[in-house]
Amino acid sequence: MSKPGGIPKIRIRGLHKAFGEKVVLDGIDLDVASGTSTVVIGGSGTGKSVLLKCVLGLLEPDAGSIEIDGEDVLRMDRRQAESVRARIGMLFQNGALFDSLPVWENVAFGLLAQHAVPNKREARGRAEQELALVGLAPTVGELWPAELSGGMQKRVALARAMASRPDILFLDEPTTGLDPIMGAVIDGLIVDCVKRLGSTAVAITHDIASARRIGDRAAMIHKGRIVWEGPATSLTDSGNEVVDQFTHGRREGPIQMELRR
Amino acid sequence: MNHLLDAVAAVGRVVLGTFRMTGRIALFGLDGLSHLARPPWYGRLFLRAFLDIGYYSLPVVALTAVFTGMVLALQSATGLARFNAESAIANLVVLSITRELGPVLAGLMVAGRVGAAMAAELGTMRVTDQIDALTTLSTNPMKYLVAPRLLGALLALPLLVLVADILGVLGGFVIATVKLGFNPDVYLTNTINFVQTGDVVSGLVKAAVFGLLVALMGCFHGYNSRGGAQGVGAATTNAVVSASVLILAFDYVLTELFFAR
Repeated sequence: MSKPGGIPKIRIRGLHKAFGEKVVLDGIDLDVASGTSTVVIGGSGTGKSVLLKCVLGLLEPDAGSIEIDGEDVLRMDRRQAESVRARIGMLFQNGALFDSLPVWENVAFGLLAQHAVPNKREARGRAEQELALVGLAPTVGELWPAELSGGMQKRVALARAMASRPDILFLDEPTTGLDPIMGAVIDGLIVDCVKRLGSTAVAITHDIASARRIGDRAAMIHKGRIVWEGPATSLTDSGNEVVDQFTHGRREGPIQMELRR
Repeated sequence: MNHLLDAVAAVGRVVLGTFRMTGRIALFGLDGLSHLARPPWYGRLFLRAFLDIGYYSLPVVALTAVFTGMVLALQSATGLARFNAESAIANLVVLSITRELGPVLAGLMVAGRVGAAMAAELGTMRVTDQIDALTTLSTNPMKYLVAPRLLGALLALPLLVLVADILGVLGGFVIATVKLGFNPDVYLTNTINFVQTGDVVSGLVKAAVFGLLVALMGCFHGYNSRGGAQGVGAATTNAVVSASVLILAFDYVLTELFFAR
């Protein structure tokens, strides 16, 4: 998925991760070109979130390499890896807003931690700007996360993820739990934000409509491997039987849901 | 023979599991404490932890100490009367409170109140991805969440116990003078003459150790909780139970260290 001859923004090779006996990632290979949006789709429990957590350094893979701008973050020392990962913004599935902080401090948290603003007053100003970019009034900054609706929490989480102008943006199920209209609104905000910043985005989702709206490219993960890659627009006519079954929601096909007793 | 081997294997597994858990807790504690020596420091979070543990635990610890002192005076009056040694009530009360009951009961009260709250708060943060979110926002969760709580508890509990000591002795004084008819001046003189600096200091050292244990158990079980609401509930229970048992075990060890001849 990289530009011909260019170094991909993210290059993942042979990524393995198992939890005890359960192999979740079984040799993932994925390239993400700079400035593009890639959507990784797959069923529940196929390792999509584990893949993101490995790139973010929240989980340590068993084998493989993860290169960002041509440098393997798994072989960097802790300080170097932290500085690379500081350029990554993350939107968590459930928002993961800090309950103990008001909205504006949530948005400004990364800015303050990275000393990107000189003081709290500036941080608050920046937080209000970021809130405005996701369609929220400055007064929302005063509220606590528990006072917000699900859609507003997602917007605040997006504002937080974008606040430090990340090079790379990860989105974990950005529309899960939202009604279709709010889902479309959030997708629109994501596309606008990514375009405005020129960031590289990687989203994981099982919402096909969302995947087509957000992604330039798409990849399907199945049994711990990438089994298909292509333009996001061709998700519904990919010609791959795994992707076809998934996108059309058919019970019969190569994807067999595990039944647990 | 097979049954015997199974039994030995089961005991072995429990022993190994205990060693593994002890090692994990020790490493967790050392990691948390090591952040106290390295910037950045979160003064506001330390202050919050200090107030939560010290100031807001004051009512429950004060009531416990007062009633304990009262009961101790009453019980020792009936017991010592059998040997015509009622005059030793003041000595017995002050020694019991400063050396043992002050720190132990304050530790147990704080374990129930603060240890549980720490485990629940950190556990909820874990299962809602807030701890992962901290990492993605260039903030070390051990430094941000654990270190201030460890330091707060380490410093707050000795102060709390100092207050408990005074109130416990006061409780004994009230019962001895009002109910048992002791001369107030004689009772106070006996108390002051009998208690030694070492009695109070040993109690305060115990308090510092108990504070550290309470915060360590609360943070460890909360930080490592898994599996949603049930996991958070289990973490809270484990934090209180393990802190309470460790307080009693360490009380014996420290008493042996300070007073065994």
